[in-house]
Amino acid sequence: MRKAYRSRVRIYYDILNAVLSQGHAKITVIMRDANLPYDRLQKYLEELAEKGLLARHPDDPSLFYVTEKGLRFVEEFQRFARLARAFGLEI
Amino acid sequence: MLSILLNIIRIDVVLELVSFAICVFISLSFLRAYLRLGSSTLALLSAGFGLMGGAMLVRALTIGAAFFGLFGRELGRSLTPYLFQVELLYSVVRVTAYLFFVLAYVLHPAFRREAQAAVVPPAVLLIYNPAFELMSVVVLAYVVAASTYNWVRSGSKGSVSVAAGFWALLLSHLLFALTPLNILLYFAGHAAQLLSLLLILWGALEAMRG
Repeated sequence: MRKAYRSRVRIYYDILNAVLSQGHAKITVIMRDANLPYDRLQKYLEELAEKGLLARHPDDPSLFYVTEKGLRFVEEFQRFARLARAFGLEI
Repeated sequence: MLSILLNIIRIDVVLELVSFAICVFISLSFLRAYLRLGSSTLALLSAGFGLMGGAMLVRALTIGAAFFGLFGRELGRSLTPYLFQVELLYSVVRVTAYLFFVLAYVLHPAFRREAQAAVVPPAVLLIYNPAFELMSVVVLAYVVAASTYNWVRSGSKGSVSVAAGFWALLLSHLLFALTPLNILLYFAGHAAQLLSLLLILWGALEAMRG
């Protein structure tokens, strides 16, 4: 059984969604919920932080939270994912 | 005889321009989504509808100019090779647009089938327009099958309109191909094309409304 391919933007969404479902999340929780190994997740977390979609909690740097920009990204992803699904496609 | 021909062309140009406007709207919606998210699925759909729209605009403008303006005095002599070239370009771009749709379904299907059908577009006999229409039918058949499969399998919002839209687009090409039998089939083809784009537009708007 071939593993389904996940695009970069889909992985971003899965990570942000994993954090959002907890409010604030530690890296181990994100690894489990977004189904990513530690080294790849680290790379994506850096990218998301650079893009301003995700940030470390000021009081506890081991916790991540989704920024306002990240929330907008999640909403737009869901909207456009519905659009793609109407065509029978994944984004 | 010439006045009948001019009336036919006039309706043809207007319908083509309406279809162009719808294509541009759909293409820009996907382009906006692509620019926000950077997904290649959205880029392929935007490119497909953009090419369709571009082809329609070029055809409407050049055919319109040929009949109503630029070639007024030398209509009979200069028209035939000119129109042939425009129709050839139009058909090639339309088939290319459908290949973009096929590529999107091959690369990013929502559901993977056990065995993917091979898509081998015919690369010969590109000189006669009905053949182009039939080629469009062959290429589009894959898109129709994939979108119908999606509707049956997922039933997601807008999927029924999108699938119906691609069926109508397929029908329009069949009608265009059968035009030598009766000129009315040509207009039926245009009506089916317009209906197809409206259905796809409706499906896209319905899906985005959530």
